[in-house]
Amino acid sequence: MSSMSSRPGISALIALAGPAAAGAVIGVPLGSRQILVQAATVPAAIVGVTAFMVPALYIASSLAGISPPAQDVGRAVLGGLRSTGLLLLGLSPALLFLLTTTPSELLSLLLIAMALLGAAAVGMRALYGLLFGPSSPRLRSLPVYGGWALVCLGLSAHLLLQHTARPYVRHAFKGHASVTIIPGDAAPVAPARRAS
Amino acid sequence: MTAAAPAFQPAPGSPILGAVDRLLRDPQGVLRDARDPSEAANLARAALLTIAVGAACFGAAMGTARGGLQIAYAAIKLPAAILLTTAVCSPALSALNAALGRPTSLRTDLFLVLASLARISLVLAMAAPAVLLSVWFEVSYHSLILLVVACCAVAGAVGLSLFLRALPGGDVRHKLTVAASLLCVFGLVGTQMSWTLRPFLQRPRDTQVRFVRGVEGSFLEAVLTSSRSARGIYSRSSAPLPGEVSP
Repeated sequence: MSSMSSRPGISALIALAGPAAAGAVIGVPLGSRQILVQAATVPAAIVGVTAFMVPALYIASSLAGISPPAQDVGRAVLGGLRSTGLLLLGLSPALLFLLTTTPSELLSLLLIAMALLGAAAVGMRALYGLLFGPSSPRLRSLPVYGGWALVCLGLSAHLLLQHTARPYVRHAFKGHASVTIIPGDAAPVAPARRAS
Repeated sequence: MTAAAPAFQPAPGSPILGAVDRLLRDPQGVLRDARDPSEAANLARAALLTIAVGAACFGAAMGTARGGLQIAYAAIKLPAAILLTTAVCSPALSALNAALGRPTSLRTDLFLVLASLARISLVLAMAAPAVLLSVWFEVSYHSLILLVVACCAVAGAVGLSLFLRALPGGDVRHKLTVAASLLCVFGLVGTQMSWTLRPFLQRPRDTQVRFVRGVEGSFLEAVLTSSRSARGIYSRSSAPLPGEVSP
């Protein structure tokens, strides 16, 4: 096991650097501005949402009688985010290659979703293991954690749909004929202005 | 503890050739020795050389279907596709192991991938004469494609079996998760890398021999188009020739 797991500073750095690297990679096909925007959006969606939801997890698990002490919850969350960050760091080169050689925006979004969901799943699994351990009663820990995880994923997905998927969809429409039809509109509209 | 007797005698001659021989006959022993820093560099060089030569042989065999420059192009592009894919995907193995709390070391993980690919390349080199024979017997283009895919599938199975057996750590579920995830990453990147560097086997209708074609869609889009074509659903009357605009 890497010695980094016992040093919270390095774990925190990996927890932020992984999503930031993945975000920068996601922004590459969209232009230089989006590299910075996505490098901020993806960590916000993953790390920010998780940090925002930690009190809810602590409260719910305490009410269920299965919560470890508060410091252990903090360490477990850091461990889970570190796992996610590590995986995103490792997947970034492959994701960069695939996104820069795939012209289809839909396929690109699918690849991004696979990478982010995979990393989230590994992080969630690691967090569960660190929080509750093998001796914890599963009948209580699984529903509490499952419900919390679903809300976390929902909040992150909403952020990412708004700020990551939408630029890709806009980019897709910008690349087609000069007269653009937005689905649901009755008449064609002028082409969208270039994103600044 | 008594030392185990060696299972075979390595081939005499250069250390590189000896290492290649061991990759073929005692891959587990090679992976054990790769943990020793003094042996690791030599073994890595042997693995890289095996990939370069083995894949070049198979690429050249595919290129004989067109002949001329295509032989050289395919012999260069196939090892390049494998090694570039390795460079892009290897960090994912160490990241997966570290994220799952499994034993990990960048050097050992990279060598495991190289050793598996070296075994694959040796199987491809073994299969190259079969492809050559098919070309000489003027087997049709599509049948040749299927033969190439079958050879790659067999080679892949051999490499994967070494990879699975050599993955460190005891938890079987974690090992399977790592293997399946890495297979997914390698599969996506490898197919797209091959698509980017195509053609390896040129279409008979394509009169011009080129090193690479322009970027047209992706491998996955091509698979979807082929599956529609196989059901008789065509979006155009014929594939475009070089210089033609796609109808």
